[in-house]
Amino acid sequence: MNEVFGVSLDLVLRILIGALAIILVLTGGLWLWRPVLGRMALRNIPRRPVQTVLIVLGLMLSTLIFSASLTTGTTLQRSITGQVLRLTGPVDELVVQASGDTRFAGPQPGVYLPFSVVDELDRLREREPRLVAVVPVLWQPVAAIDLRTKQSEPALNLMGVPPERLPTIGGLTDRNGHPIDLASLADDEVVLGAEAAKRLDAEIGDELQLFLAGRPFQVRVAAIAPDSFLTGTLNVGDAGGLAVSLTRAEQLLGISGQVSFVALSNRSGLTDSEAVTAAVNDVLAETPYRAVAVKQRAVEQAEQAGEAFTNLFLLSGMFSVAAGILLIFLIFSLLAAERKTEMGTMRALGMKRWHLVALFALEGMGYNLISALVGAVAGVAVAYAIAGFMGRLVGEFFTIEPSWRPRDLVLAYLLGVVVTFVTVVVAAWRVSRLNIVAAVRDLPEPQLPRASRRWLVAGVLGTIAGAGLCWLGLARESLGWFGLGMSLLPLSLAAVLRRFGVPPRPLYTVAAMLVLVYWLMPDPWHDRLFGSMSGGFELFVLSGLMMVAALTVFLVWNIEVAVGLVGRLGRAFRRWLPAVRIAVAYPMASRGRTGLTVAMFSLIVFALVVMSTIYANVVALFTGEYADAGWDVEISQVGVAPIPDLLQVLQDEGIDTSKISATGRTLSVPWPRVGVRPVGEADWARYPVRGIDTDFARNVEAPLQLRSAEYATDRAAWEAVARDPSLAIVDANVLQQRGGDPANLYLPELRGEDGVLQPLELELRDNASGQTTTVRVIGVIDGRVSSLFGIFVSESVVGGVFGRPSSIEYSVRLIPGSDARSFARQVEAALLPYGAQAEATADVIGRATGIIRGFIRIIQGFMALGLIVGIAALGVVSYRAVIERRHQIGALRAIGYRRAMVALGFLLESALVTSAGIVGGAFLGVLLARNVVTGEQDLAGGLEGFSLVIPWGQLLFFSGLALGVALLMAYVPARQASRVSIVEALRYE
Amino acid sequence: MATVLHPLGSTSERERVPIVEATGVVKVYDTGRVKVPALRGVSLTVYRGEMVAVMGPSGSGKTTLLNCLSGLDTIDEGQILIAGKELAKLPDDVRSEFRARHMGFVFQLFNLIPVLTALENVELPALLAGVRPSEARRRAMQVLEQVGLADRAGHKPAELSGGQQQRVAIARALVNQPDIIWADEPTGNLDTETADEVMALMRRLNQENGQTFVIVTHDPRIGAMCDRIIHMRDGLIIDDGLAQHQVANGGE
Repeated sequence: MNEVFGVSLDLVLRILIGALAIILVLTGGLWLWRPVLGRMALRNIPRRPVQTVLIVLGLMLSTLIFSASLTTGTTLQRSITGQVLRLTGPVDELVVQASGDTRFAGPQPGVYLPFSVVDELDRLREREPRLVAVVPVLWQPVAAIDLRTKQSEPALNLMGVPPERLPTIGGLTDRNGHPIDLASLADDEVVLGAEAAKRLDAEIGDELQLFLAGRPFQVRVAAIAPDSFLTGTLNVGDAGGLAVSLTRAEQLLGISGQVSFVALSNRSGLTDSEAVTAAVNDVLAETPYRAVAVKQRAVEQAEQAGEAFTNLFLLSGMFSVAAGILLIFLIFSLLAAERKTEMGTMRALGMKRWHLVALFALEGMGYNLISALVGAVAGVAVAYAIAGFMGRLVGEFFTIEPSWRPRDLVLAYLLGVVVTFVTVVVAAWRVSRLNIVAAVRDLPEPQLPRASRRWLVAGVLGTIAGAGLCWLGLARESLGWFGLGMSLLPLSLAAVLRRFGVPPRPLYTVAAMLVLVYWLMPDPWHDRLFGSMSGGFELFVLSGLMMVAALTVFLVWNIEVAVGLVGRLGRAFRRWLPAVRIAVAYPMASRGRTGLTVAMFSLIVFALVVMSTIYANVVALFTGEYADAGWDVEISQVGVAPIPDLLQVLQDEGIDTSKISATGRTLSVPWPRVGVRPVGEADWARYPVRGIDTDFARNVEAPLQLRSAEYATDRAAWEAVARDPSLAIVDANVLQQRGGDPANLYLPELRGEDGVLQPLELELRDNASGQTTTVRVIGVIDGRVSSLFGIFVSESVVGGVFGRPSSIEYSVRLIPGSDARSFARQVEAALLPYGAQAEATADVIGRATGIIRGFIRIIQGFMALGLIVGIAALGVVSYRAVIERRHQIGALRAIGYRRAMVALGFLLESALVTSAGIVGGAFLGVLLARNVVTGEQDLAGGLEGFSLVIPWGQLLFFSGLALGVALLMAYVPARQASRVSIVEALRYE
Repeated sequence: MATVLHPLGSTSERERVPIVEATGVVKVYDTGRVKVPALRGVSLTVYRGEMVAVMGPSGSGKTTLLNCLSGLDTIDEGQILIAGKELAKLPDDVRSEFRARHMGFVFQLFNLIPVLTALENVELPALLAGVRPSEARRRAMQVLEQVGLADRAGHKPAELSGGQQQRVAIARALVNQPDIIWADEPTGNLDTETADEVMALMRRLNQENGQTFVIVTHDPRIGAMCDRIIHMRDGLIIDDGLAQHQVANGGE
């Protein structure tokens, strides 16, 4: 992994090393120049050990997030790359039929190349030294059953490889590394791949019954070889297959003079890939065959996947990083408050303001160097935990192998140190502004009637920056820049107006409300007011940060209202009223401190609530009553001839077909084989095509969310598609832009004004043969029908344009009360000769959505790490409060405050501040999630009758957890406060 | 017990009822390495309605005596009775409630709660004593009027002068109409003029309400304004002032 957010990691590393060097020179130089500052800073660190532990805990979180994100990216990249390299082995390129787009091209069942291509490549090999091996492979999917173990597998790959060419690509070996000679195998012997052997529970010597297009023949396992292209594992997660000699494969398949693909190997592997691909394509220029650099493509995809996950985790962790930065501000505000008199005295004795900044910076650096180290190491542990969770999610197809790189650790450490140092310096600069007299006498800072000139300058700069960002956003149609500008503008303008004596409360209230209204505005309103703009996942983070900032400003300036309410509630419990009064008075008196703590909790709860709500709606949308399209069992048959009469075959195999109330058939062509674009556009996108028969059209229960006006009912539209090869229905995913990949089919123009379908013609192309056709879209399937995915056309389109489908799916509806899962098992056993896999539709949907749900959960868990910051913050605040108010606690106890009241006051205060953050964050989270789920471009966009699902249970759980842990954190200081000796406290100053 | 109260110096010995009775009080501060005896067998009686000053040089044990008498601090030996009750034997919560209902405190550093207004500070002990919020507020306002700060009721301590803060503290001490008010250097942080004003206020309240005041001070002028001066040195009472008091009142 070499980039994050498109920036080279090497460059980032160099910049960070430079920044750290500057920081070290500055702090070290300062120490040498003014040793007394260094001594004071160092001695301040162990003054309060508990507090120091909390500070280190809080400061380490940013580094932890960086470290965990980078390590997760590395883990994924290495896992994918490792498995791909193991599978491809020495194979670097494949030559396949791909007259159109080669970006996603690969071998297709039933598509063959003439042997003349192999001859041509052999001639090339003689004059191109970088090409060292040309190995033609004949491939066909088969079903298999182990006659000893009775285990079956409906989709294995039978590979025919010429034995004489194998040594040029390293030969074939068994699991112990012993060479296998395919030429010496008997006619009924095969070499089984390791994964296939695992699935069949097969051993050497076992008899296997293979089914090729329904025709059985028996073979014996002569050897078991590690999984590779040559033993039938074409993709990560495949069931694998078995290898025989090319001649034997030709006999079995009745094919001669043709192969499925040609595997090439280079002298220097990936290094030669570009040159060899170019040379091959040059030779084959006049043919529909092309070389595809499969290994290079896989390595690049692994790289992209690693970077995508790093970016995703970094963005998700931004809430925690932001909370961490707020915590640093809070900590240094508290330290400054604690040392106010000392600082005033030092200033009075002649210390300059920058000395105070330097003092805090040096002390901060002390905490920083330790906490970043702890964070970087803890981040690796978190990444390993994430890898464990991911492994459980995708383990069926893919193995996640946790790994870390020293570079990631160093990067995270440097990033953590630099971010924390900068924050510390800014916080120190802020707290170093003090009135010496007030500080020496420990009096409150004098209040100015209007904002200082500093605020005016900040306001003017903010306004200019805000306007500039808005302009940039409009020019680039970027919602991110525009939204940032729209958030900066009101708050900056408020700062300017404050300078001119406008009262702060109404000013900041209005400004905060404007920011909130902007971010919570429904998409159509936004488009109408500002025009159409786009953005990605980063918008979620940006909107969260901006809304929480606005909410905090709003709360801080209107805290009296909330506090008054609590105070009034407190009257109901007269005995505890004094405790309530004190508990609400302190947060109100320290607006800044309260605001920072509220913001920290809001940020984290906001992120968790948004993810929870999206999760709940994903479940409601994609696993609800519409999801299965009215089908109970899905039967899938890969790359073989269709079952002539499904019901008859099932009956013949003894299945009780009276349980079946309806069936339908679709012929599937997967997305790598399909090119699709609206007529008149230049670029081809990708999307699967599915040809439906009339039974499917008559029986499918898939409502359309958009339908051409010429059809009176959804059923009529489906039946028209099955009948007429010029028509198509598409699923609702095409209305949304997923991940911004231009190769994904995106047809927003289908949705016209008032939800009426706009006519649209699509050109479909077989990427293998280059043959095309045009279809007109007459409907868009309701987004809740999650089991239907693709462009649905008549069966005849698949036959006419794509030739043989890659797979055939039979959909079955059972009579009410039938057990779909057990029926699927019976069907799969009965249809094994046809290589058919059967599964209950509910299980198919559950598996597909399970991965999405799992990832949302992992991201949620990652975001929840930020709670540590909030909790550490409360710990620091509560702990500080006990020390700060020791004298006041003594006075209160003297005038009759009971111990329990003191403790209750502290707990109540923590509960109030935490609750404000939790309620605010949850409120904003639900509102934003509503937009994310129901927006036109979003999950449930344009779906009639869908209402937002709010996961109250989860909301209460998160809120309760946050509140509970926060109270637990406040309990120790509260208890400590209640036990303060009155006389000691009164003596304490 | 009903007590007949008289203006300063007019209560005859026969009518005087003890409110504070201390016998052989010993208090030792144990710092781990050294034991510092702060009170070395102090015996003392304070009568209802009296305004008593406790004076002595620094380290003589004045504040320790006040803390021990008021139940804020524990004692190592001896016995202290407040209105006949031995506070040391009461559980902490009961002791807290007793302080809320029967005692008021005035400190040198005022010790007002900075986040509460003057009015809220004053009503706090009333609320602690279980008085209804509306009644507590009425009483607090009344006491603030008594100390001449009704117009400053909505101000926070930081917005008041030192003298005003101390007057709020006195109002807070008075709001529950306690039997006894303990004041530890109440004028120590004030200039002479303000100190005189505060002292005059306490004297007036003592005379009007008949409450007992025990004032720790090292200012002879403050002592002179009290009914009786107790002199301390090295943790012992060297003069309980009763003799002068009797002489002043024409006793034997």
